Amino acid sequence: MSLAASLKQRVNAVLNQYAPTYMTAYKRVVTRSGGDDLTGHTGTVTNTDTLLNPQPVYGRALRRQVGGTDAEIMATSTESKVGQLYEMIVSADAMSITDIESQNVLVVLKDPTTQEEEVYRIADYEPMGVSGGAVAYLLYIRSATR
Amino acid sequence: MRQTRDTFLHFLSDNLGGTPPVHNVRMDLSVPSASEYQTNAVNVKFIDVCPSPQIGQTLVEIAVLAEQELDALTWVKSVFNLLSTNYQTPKLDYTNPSSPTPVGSNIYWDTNLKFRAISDHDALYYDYRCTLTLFHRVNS
Repeated sequence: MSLAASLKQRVNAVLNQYAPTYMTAYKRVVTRSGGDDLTGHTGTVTNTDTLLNPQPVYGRALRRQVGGTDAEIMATSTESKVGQLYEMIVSADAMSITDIESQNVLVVLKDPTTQEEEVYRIADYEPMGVSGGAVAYLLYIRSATR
Repeated sequence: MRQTRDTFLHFLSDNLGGTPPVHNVRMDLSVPSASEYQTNAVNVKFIDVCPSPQIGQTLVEIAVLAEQELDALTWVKSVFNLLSTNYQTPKLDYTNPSSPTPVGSNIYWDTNLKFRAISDHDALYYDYRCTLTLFHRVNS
């Protein structure tokens, strides 16, 4: 077994142990058919959610950590909404570099009880590997829906 | 105003014939990549909207991005040739994209087109941009 594969097994075990349970993380692949992509007239949009296994570990990056540039506050008539930025460590077994760099892949966090979801774009990533093998990725994900 | 956007996008896309492709930069969660500029494409981003009971205006940015500088220059020439041929086009309703229908008015635009080179030595592409005002009737 390569060093990267060995490390990845250990990382997966840690992720399984420490992943937050208050939300469930999915990889969403968006595909469109019909309609008109050029103008945005809707055809058929299909969202395919795949449970990330192992579940990633993630934490919300505070505005002071990102210099106040990535969190936006918008007011509706009844509440203030804050755009969220998360740092997420995901195993290379759960998401590949192709997924992360794909234009049509999003990260979705769902409340396991209510199934309410928040959708995130992958704003940036840092690969973590050894000896040429991928072990995990550090993703910076920013909410696309507040 | 939606018809103005759709008409202008298709005017560019249909007449440039896919070389280069036209990409509308917009926020659209069902197309995650729509908000990003594309290289080797003519990127069209609609900015300010000024409705009016007489003639409304829509400000649009055209960004020609290419990995090769000379390709960018060639495509700028193609876009200019197209926009300077008539300076107007009939406005169509693209609710059914496969069969657009005329709405009875035209959209027209400035005759003064100036493309600025956006220089960034770290970028992996060459970038020419111009802004353009589209004039159109708002009630159709």
